[in-house]
Amino acid sequence: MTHHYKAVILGAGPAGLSAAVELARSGTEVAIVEDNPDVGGQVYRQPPEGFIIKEEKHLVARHKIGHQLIQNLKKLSGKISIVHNAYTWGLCNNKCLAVLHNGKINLIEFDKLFLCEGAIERSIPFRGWTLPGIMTAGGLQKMVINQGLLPGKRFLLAGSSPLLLSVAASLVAAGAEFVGVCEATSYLANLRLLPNILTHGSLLSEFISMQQKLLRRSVKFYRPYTIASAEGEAKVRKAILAKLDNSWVPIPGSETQIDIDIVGLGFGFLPHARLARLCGCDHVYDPLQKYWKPMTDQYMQSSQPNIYIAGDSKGIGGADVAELDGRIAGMHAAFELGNITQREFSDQMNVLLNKKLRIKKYVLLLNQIFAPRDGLYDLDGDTIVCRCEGITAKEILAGIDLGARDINELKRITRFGMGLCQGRTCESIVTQLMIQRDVSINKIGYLNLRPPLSPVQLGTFETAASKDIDR
Amino acid sequence: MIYNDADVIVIGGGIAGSSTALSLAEKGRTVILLEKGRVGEEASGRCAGGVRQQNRNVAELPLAMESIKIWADMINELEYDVGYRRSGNLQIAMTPDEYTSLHRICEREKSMGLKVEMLSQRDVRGLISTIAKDWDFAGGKYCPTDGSANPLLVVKAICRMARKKGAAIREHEPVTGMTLKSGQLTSISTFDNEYHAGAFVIAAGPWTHKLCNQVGLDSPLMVHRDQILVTEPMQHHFDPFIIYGDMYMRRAIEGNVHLWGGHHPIAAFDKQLSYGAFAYAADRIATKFPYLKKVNIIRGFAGLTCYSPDEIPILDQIPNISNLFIAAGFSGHGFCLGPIVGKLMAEWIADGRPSLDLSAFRWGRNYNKNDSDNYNCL
Amino acid sequence: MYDKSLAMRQKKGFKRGELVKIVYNGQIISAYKGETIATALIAAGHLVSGYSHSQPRGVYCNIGICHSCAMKVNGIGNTRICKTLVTDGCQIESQNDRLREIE
Repeated sequence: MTHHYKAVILGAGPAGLSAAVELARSGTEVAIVEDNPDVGGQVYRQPPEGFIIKEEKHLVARHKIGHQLIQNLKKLSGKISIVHNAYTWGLCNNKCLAVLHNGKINLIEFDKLFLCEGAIERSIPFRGWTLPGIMTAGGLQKMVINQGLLPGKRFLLAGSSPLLLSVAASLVAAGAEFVGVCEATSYLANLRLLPNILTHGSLLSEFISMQQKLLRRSVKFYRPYTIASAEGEAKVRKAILAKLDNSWVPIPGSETQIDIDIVGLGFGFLPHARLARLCGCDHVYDPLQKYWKPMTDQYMQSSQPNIYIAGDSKGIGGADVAELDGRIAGMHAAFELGNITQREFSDQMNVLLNKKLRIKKYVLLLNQIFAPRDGLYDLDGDTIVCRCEGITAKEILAGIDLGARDINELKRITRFGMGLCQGRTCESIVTQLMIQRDVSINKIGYLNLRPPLSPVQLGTFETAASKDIDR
Repeated sequence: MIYNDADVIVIGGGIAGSSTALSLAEKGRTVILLEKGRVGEEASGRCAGGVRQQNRNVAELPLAMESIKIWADMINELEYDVGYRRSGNLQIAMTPDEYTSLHRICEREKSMGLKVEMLSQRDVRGLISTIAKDWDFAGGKYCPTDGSANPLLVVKAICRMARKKGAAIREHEPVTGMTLKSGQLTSISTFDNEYHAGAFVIAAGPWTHKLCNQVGLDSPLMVHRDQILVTEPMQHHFDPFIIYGDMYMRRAIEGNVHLWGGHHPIAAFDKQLSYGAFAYAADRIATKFPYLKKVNIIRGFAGLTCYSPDEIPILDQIPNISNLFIAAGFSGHGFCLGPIVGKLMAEWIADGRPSLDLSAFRWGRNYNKNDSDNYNCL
Repeated sequence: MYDKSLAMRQKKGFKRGELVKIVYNGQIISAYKGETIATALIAAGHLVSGYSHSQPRGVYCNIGICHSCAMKVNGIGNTRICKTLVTDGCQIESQNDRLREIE
């Protein structure tokens, strides 16, 4: 089945929803293609069907913003079509999406495409990190605040991210017996950023009050520490923490051991730019954040014509930036399509661009404080790097020593990234290991993606109109 | 050896070129292999990986049988496991007519010394339990000494061995120019270097045509794009490399099943995976191996292969450029032949003539596909 | 060796919908409509979704990216339980090998 829309948005998180609202306001017909059963993405996740949830105090403000955005979307439902449970696995000739929906292949043609694929968590491995009970901090948060399940009694949150405190607060509110927060960031080391921090006074005070609350509820802090290894048989039972020096290298002899049954790892986020890679647009490496991201201009246009990239998938900035991105992209496209006037465009766009400039300063500050440092990638040889295929750090380094000089070649030699997740979890780890071995980032590159972007059953393609999508 | 001078220069780091470099080094010749990118990253690294003797053009069979012997020795010498397994090759005869053709070929191959047998439908089902129960095919043809390997790892390993034996393997060195003087190739240039040698071998697959043009030769070689889809890792459920009609599949040692997504003649050198590949594979397994319908495709890739009009390679010394040799046009089934081609080209250059009859592979021959001689499945 | 989770569904702040019955490795477990299979299994004490290279695996990212939680659901192998909602009578089985079974 082939459909055609003027504007197609991939992803119904803050960026996608904001772009949809902006486009629909200007009279443009929009289709949103969303993989999940509901809109909102990760940050504005809707309650499960049949659930009524009363949000924790520290999440109410965020919930309100999400709620408003979804209300705005509903008001414009005449112009917005949303396809749920629709998985986009390919992109044909940069002109149409290949989507799996209800077990069938659909082709969705567009004049303008908005890629709002969001973010995924950055994984930093250590011995034992694949044990059951060890999750990402975001995954743990979803389990607690959205699914209503406290998966254990004694929790350790480890990493370097503003998310850790929020998850700690959720765990405490849900009645966890013990919550430890192990942060690699040293606040003393970040003292030099104090003047910048003070210009964002309200956010600083929010942070301090959150800290105080947690300390009052006996949350134990370990700073600057990281999780050096985890032990257990069929699930995690113990975590060994190590103190870090200024380069975040574990200090020998500083280990301390705690008994826990669930670990939440929060080392920040990575752009989930999958279709962005498929479309062949230019990418650039961010050395502070240690990730590749698609390049966009100030209007969110990628280097491929008619393709916009908005939100975390173009560079991690959080929900506020994502919404502005979505509005900017939507407004620009609406202007290009002739649905708003030059005057309207200039007036409104300037407001958005200025707003974004202000928020970005804060985002940059957070990045400087929380971005991972090299020491965390000093891995034990037996540490698993590629979970899907069971490839260890030793095997990756051996592949580099065998002469692999770019990440695609290394993948073909060692088989990392060839499993079910196609490198989403391990590519960032392997990239850092190659940098450690003095391969320049421009030689390393990033993994070439091919369809399907996620596993699709072979039988599904029998019904495909192959004539339509053959090249 | 002076840095850019050698006895022989080989252009192309696929299995043919690397094997040639290895064989020349083993014969004590100085050799430089120039690869435009990274070795094994084109057709040789993206192919099905079948190491097959049966069902070839009659002229190729003696080469393939000799090659299998080299494979056996080579595997022992390579530094790491390249996934080579002699798990057999099975061609399923879809119709009684096809069975008859295969039977004729079987007799001919047996008379040439190949261990090969015809199988009834029942026998085939004994080998492969997952065939659709209602597919009433005619039978099959099976060669137990055929097999497959991880094609990329094989080429990389051959290059490592060649280096160990003294060959120079230079990557990211695309040839930009070739100079002829008095009917001999005297030098070739890359972006930064100029190379001199007594003899030259072009084993550059789809890029052979352009290189030939540079010395005033017109080649009949064409480029096709081949596509492979890869499933999630599956438990062991068949051994041989399976071929039927215009479809093949093989199970890699790690568990993933590779399925052919067809091939297209193309004009541009484009390795994008075509979306048609998915329907191609799905339509061909649906009624024949229906269990695969529920299996996930997790990735796919495409590669560029070099075809000759009669689908057998050109292995020759160029008639009016006596120090230039060509080994290209393997038409999608050159992987098995790589090692023997390397040995034969090395013999030709070092000893004056190859030890096997290569007259069927001459440059400038009458490139007619003669089907009775030329059973080439895929 | 088998370790149970110490999980508990939250009561404060959560009103849930109807109960369904799901089958895990032959054992019947209650779950609430709207929950993911991952939630339901962990709530019932099961953190291990299967084995890969002889090592236990369970839910990691919980948003359908990493595939660590893959189990056989209603006969389909390598299904992400963190993305799949419970349905009445759904059959869930551990995958004890990284290699998918032939059905």
